[in-house]
Amino acid sequence: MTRHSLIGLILVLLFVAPVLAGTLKGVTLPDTLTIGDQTLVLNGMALRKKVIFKVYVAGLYLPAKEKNSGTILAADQTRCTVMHFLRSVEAGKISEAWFDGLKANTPNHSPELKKLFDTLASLMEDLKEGDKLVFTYLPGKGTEVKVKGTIKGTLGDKAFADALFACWIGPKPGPGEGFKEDLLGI
Amino acid sequence: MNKTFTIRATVKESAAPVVSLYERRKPRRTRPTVFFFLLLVAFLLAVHFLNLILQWTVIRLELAHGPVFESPAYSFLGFSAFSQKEIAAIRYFENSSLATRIFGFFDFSHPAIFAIWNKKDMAFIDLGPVVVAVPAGFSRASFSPGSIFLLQQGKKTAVRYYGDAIAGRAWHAFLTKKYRDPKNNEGQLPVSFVVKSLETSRYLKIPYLIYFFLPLLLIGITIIRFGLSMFAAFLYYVEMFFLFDYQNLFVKIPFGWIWQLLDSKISETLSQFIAAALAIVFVASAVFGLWHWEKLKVSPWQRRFLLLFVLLPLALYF
Repeated sequence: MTRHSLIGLILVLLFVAPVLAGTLKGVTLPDTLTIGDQTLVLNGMALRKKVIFKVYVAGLYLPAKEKNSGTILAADQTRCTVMHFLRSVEAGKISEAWFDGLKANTPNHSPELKKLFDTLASLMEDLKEGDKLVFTYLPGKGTEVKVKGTIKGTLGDKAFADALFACWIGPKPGPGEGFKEDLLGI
Repeated sequence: MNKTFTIRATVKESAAPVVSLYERRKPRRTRPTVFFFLLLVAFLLAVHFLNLILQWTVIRLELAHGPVFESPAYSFLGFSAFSQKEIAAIRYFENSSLATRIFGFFDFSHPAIFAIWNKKDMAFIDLGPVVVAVPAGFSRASFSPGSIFLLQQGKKTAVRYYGDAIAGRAWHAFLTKKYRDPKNNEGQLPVSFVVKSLETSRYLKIPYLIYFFLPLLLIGITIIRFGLSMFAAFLYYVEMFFLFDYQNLFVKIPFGWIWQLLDSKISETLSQFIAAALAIVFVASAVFGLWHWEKLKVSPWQRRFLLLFVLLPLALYF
C-alpha cells in the first residue's frame, strides 16, 4: 500500500500544472506563480507593439494586485515579469531597449548600475517566437534572469531591480503608456 | 489394518539413514545485516568523495583552459587536508602586485573553495560554474553540493543558488538558515553572478554525462544478471529528476550532440517535453520492476542492489 502511495505521489508531482490563466493575443500566462514559499498574482498583461508588429506579451506578477507603479517600485518585495515573444528579435535589439529604458527612467544612474546593465545585455540571446524572458526580483538576493528557460544569473540589488522594472512601469516606459497601464491593470 | 500398520512401522525404524552430500556440508555462515549496512555506507561515502574529486577536477580544468571576462591568477591546491599550511598562508597575499589572486582547493563537503584577493571592487571573476562579482579585499567562496555557493567577506555572508532543480530551492533555504548566524553576521553581501552554460562548456558537462549513462549501464547489467525485478532500480532516475536540473541531465547534456550535428539548438519546449517523457518512462520502468518484485522471489543481493540505486542519488547530490 505504501509503495503504491509513493508511486502515486511521484506521478501527481510530475503532472501537476497550473490550471487558471490569463490570455492575451494567444499567449497564456498562469494567474499565479509560486516562487519559493511565496505566491505571486498576475497583476496585468500587456502587448508590446512596434509599428504594426506584435513583439511580445508581458505579464507582471506581484504579491498582491497594485495599480500604482510608485508603490510597486518602492516596496522591497518579490516581483516578476514574464516576456513571451511573438516574433524573432535579435539580442542586440533587446539590449538596446534595456539601455534606452535605463537612460529614460533612471537618468542619474550610478556607474555600478550601468555595469550591471552591461552584464544584463551580455546575457541576452537572439529570441524566436515562443521564447521567454523571465525577470524575478528576490529581496536581499537580486534579480534572477531567465532566458529561454535557462537561469542565466542573478544581478544587483533593489536599485538594479527598480531600474529594470522601471523600463516597463517607470515614468517613461519604453513600450508606451498604454503598455504600462495594462501591466498595472488600470 | 492393524497388521499393515505394524509392518510399515518396523520398516521405517530399521531403515539406515540416507545421508546426502548436501547434508554433510557445513551450514553457511550468514553475514550479519550490520556488515552489509556498513559496507553500503562505506561505498556511498567513497562515491561521494569520488564525485567531489570529479567536480573539483572539472572546475579546475574549466578555469585552467581560459576563464571568461578576465584572467586572474589561479593556484590550485587540491585536497585541503594535504595543503593545510598553504591554505593558512593565503591571508598574507594582501600585498600581491596582481589585481586578482585566487587559490582553489576542496574538502570532504565542498567540491571547490576559493580564497580570493581582489583589488578591483565588484569585478566579475570566473569561479568555474559561475562568474561572480566579488567585492574588493579578501573573500572566500565555498561551493556546496546542489549548485549553491557561500560568499564570505569578514562577517558579511551571502548564500546563492545557481541551479534549476526542483529540490534545489528547498536545499538553498536550508543552507541559508544554517549559515545565518545572528551573533556573527553583519549583514548580506550584495552578490551578482552569471551562470555558465553546461552545454557549451567542454568540462562542466562531464559529471552529468556520468550521472546519466553510467547508472544506465549498471542497471542494464543488473537486469540481465538478476531479471526483470531489477527494473525497480530506475527509481535512481526518478530521484535524479527532482534533485538535479532534469532538462540538462536527461536531454541537453546526454543528447545535445544530436542537435549539434544538425547545427541547431534545442528549444525550451522540446527539451521540457523530451525530459518529461523520459521521466515518465523511468517512472513506468520503476513501477514495472516493483510489480515483478512482488511476484518473484528476490534474493538478498537484489534487495541490496536496489537499496544502492535508491541511495546513490543522495551520495551524488550531497
